[in-house]
Amino acid sequence: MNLLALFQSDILSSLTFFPLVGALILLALPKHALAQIRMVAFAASLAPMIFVLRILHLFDPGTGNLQFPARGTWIPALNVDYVVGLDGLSVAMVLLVSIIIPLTILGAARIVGEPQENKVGAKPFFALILLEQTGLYGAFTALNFFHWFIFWEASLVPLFFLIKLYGNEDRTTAAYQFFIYTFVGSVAMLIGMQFIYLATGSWDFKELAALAQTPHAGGNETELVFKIKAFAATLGIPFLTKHIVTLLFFLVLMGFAIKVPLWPFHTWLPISYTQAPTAGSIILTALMSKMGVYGFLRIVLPIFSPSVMEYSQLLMSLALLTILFGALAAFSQRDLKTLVAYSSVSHLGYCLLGLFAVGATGGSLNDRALALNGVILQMFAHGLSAAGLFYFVGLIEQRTGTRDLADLGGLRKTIPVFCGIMGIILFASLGLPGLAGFPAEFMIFRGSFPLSMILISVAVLGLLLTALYLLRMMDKVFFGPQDDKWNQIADLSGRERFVGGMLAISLFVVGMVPAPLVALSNSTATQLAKLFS
Amino acid sequence: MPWIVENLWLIAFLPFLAAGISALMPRAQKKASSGIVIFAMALSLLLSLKAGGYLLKAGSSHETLHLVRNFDWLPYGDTVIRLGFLLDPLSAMMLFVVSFVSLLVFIFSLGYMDHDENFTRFFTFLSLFAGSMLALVIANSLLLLFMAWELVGLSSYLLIGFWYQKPSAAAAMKKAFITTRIGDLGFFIGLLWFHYASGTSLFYDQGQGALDPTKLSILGGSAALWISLLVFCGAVGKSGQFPLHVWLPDAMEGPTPVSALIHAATMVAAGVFLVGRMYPVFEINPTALEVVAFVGAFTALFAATIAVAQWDIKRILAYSTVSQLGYMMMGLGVGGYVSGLFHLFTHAFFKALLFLGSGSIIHACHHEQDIRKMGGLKDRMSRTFVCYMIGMFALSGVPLFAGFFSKDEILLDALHFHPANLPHFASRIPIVFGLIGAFLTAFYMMRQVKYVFFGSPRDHGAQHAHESGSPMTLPLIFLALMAVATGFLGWPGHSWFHHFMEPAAEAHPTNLYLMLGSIAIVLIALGVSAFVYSGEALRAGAVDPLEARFASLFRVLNNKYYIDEFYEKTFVLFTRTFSRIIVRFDRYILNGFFVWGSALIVYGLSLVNQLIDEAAINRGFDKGCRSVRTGSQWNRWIQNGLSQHYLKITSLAIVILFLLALFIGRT
Amino acid sequence: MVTLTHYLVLAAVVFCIGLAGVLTRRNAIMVLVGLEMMLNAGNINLVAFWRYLGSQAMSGQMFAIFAIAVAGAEAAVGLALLIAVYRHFRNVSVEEISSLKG
Repeated sequence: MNLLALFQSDILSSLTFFPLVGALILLALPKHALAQIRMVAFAASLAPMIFVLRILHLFDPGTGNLQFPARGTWIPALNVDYVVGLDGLSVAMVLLVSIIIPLTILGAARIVGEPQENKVGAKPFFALILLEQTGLYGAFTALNFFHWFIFWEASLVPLFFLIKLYGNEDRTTAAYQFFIYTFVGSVAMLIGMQFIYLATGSWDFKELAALAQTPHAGGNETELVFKIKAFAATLGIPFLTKHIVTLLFFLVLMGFAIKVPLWPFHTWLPISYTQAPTAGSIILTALMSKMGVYGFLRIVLPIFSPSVMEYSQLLMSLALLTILFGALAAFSQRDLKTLVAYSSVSHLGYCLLGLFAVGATGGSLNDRALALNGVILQMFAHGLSAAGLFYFVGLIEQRTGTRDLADLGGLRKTIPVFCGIMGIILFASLGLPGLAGFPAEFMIFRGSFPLSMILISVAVLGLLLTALYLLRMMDKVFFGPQDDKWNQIADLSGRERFVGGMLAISLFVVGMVPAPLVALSNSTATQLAKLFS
Repeated sequence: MPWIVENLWLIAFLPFLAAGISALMPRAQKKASSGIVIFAMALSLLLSLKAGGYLLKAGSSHETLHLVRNFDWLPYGDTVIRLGFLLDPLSAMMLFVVSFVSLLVFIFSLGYMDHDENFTRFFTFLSLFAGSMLALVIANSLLLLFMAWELVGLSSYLLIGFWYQKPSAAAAMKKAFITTRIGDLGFFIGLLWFHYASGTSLFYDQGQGALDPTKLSILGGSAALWISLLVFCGAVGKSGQFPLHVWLPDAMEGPTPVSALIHAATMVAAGVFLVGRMYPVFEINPTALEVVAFVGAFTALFAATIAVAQWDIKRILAYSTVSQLGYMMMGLGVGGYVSGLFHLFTHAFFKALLFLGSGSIIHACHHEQDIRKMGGLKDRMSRTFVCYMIGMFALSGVPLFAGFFSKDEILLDALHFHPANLPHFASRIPIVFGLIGAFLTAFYMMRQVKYVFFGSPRDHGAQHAHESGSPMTLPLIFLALMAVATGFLGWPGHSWFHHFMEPAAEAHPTNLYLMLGSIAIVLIALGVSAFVYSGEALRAGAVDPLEARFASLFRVLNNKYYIDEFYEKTFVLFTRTFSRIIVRFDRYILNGFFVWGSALIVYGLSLVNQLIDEAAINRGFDKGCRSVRTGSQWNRWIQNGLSQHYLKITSLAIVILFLLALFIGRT
Repeated sequence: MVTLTHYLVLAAVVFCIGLAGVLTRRNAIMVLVGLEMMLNAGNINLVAFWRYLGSQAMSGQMFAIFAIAVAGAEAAVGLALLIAVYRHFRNVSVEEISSLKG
């Protein structure tokens, strides 16, 4: 099918490229028309919600297969097709992007390190966010590695500039470290996938997954493993021939492990999250990190299922360290943003734990399906709560000019509403029942528990450590005697109330009634879980 | 399905709704906010009574004992997690206790919190608490129970820290939440295990629930033991049992109505309730109940010794609560399901009475809590005094007051505690500890009463004290009535309560010697204490007679055996240090050594590359370039930017060309 | 009898005068006037050749007319440029304006 015709008819492509069009319109606006810029940016980021609602309406939760598929030939010489589609793994993520980005833009009015004062101006700021939105949609809907990889990388670029142009004091180092570190992972993954392409001649996720499940005639390996080994043998390097599958697995794993991140590849994260402008931090934690987890679900689990099973104990231990060390590191931070950044590391550890637990032995299909559903719900819940935390930390910084916990204290007296809404988001992050974090964590833990009792029992310690650092933060910021210099700071404005309130309400609704969201992912998750039973 | 079972959720939902409405109200709307909250609570009380009444009428077969209303909450894979609400004698009893005490405390708070600027917020939190506590009680699923359990913890956190500007309150709220969460970790793992092992999330479900006998039998002995112990961890945290009792006395930083409602009467009993709810699982492996019994017995004695040497009126009551909760646990542990819960039932009323009474005193003495600075309040606050005395007699176990009946039943069950797998002396520990605890309880209560009400005022706060208003004294009177009346529900030998809770089982026959013995112990303790704390000892500035006699022991008790300091020096310090190490490790080893190290290697390689480039490649190339540049120097004069100059050259060239064409072309 | 040669000589003279003007004057306007003269010398040639070589077609005349139109346009553009240059340098002396040099 002709690509241009495809773009016009396909809802996913329209969804993906809509924000890009918005960004282009934005660039045509005069530089100082801040109000119009903001309005156009908000409209352009919100408009895809219409497509998403239509997708949700048409989405059939009963089947785990791809929906809204579209395919067009792109680069025939490389066997690259433009392939998009949506299933239970991605539909919640697309919804999350459509919620978070408009709220970010709406909230970014005054929290972005003051773009109107920055000499670069506000226009590139909003255009970059819209660009990021296109990248994210693309990465969550693309089903061909080549095509997907372009979006995966494209989403790095706007963030690099957001950090570099609008970040805090150490922004240059942070931007470079962020970009180069994650890029190293991408390169590793690219090498791995290219090898697989050379061996199989396919970039297509679904085709590769199918190959990974077809047993090779007359052997106990899968078709994919056979092809890879056969190709490796032609290179004539004995080491490669022997360990090629493991090597490829870890190469591809690297890319995602850095992005999520998995301990010990997380060190780029605190500095980037801290130095990024608030909007950048929100996008990084709420959406970018989810791309990594999504990559695990979409690529690593279906294509490398035997390797995941083989190394599941090792990977689970690393996930456990991510949870515990992330939380412990958050406990002794003085910088609010670094604290929240480390809390993100720890929370994403739960996702990874659930993911890798699926590869462990024991348990039933339902347990695995529950863990995977939990992972997806946790991605959603963490997206909302971490976005909220960064937003409110940004507001605190903007009001008081400091992020140092030692300077703050007793703020609840002057800004009670602020404290209330932030408290809700904070407790959601802490996993309080009734808010979104709890069902997600329960599902992950309950699903993984039969698969690895001891590791999971240790991992539960993370819940305690989370409470430790979050309550410490609450205590240092809002409770205790108030310094007189904070007497005059303003409580939430109407716009801020709206953004914070929307997040809090979403967290509450998802926490009370997680069933509809879980229903979206359940069929696909069950299908994925079947690979490991 | 009967209407009340169908709509049982309303009991918990109404206070939640009231909390939600009150949360959205502006601060100035004091009347409306508290009115809505109290109205919702009154409705919940009515519904609770209706539920209890229905159960009384329904008879006593197993099906009618566990009336459930279940619903699907979370479908996954090809199955579903179900939650539900449960009406059985246990939940009906707790419903009545919680909603009755809550309502009275809410009314009391009208007076006590009148001048607080966050009055509406207070009622919001109270209502949130009541809702979650009621949900906890009617939960027909360990998962739902856990959810309500955490919400109860949240409301307790918010209310302890209600005066958040006091650093001590801010510290106490954090400590309460964290300490109980330590226990909750065990509870959470137990929940996971229980759900996994039983394959259903429901307690009762027409014979298919996890606690129904058919399903219960598939739990193995060791799994049942682990699950019980893990769940018990949660109960230890919430009910302030040793070693997680440290948060409860600090929780007295909250306003006194909160202490009465949450940290004395209802929430702290949730741990006991939890053990009661999971009792069928605890019963599978006898070791589980033995652990409960010993933890309870130890706590009962241990906390009572601390209470003897405290000065803060509320802290004495707090340690007394810890001790009484220990009694309840002990009762459950020694096999007295009914006696443990009966003590929970009576204790809720008289402990709420004591706390509200202390609230009335503190309010009258201008927020003075040190009993050394009170004195002589007997005549100044006569109504409070009478009610307080009733509560004190009930707690001490003076005959015919409620505590006497319930404590005696526990001791009776402890007397019959003869597990096969324990040596004889070990099985005597609960009864011995219980009796010593009873002595101490009567002793410290008399000490407190003497200090507070007798002698003459030792400080101006007590001097100007006067009786509190009727919103505060009326609840006291109601509770005092209950503190007497509830005891008779458990008249030895003809216990109505026992029949209601467990119609099938027979109670142990009354042991007259034990009863007389415990009466004697209590009376002696009261007498000794009244004798010690009289005359000289009640003068202003006098040293406590105990302190004078046993100075070092008194100091240890007064400092609560230095357990807080011990935790501070071990667990807290360890976490803090470990956390710092992790941060350093991240910064210097992972990010410093590895990441920046590899960055440096790449940078070094690029330097080498640059050197090679400059030395080998660039030098030859540069030479070539330089000659081109010098060669082009003379060209520069042509291009001087003057268009006329260019034209001149052009015309000159044309002329030359023309001439050339003229001459050369000719030939 | 005026022959073709006369016209050609006239055109050559006009052309040389124009060229001299272009090359020597400092005022850019005068340079422009010189340019116009050179163009018109060309026009004279075109018309003259048409007339004396006896073509039936109108091409010579048409060429001249085109050249005149183009000259008009060129003058307009030139003058506009001059004005722009004047605004920029406050000067129209061609020797002062030498920023084209490398």
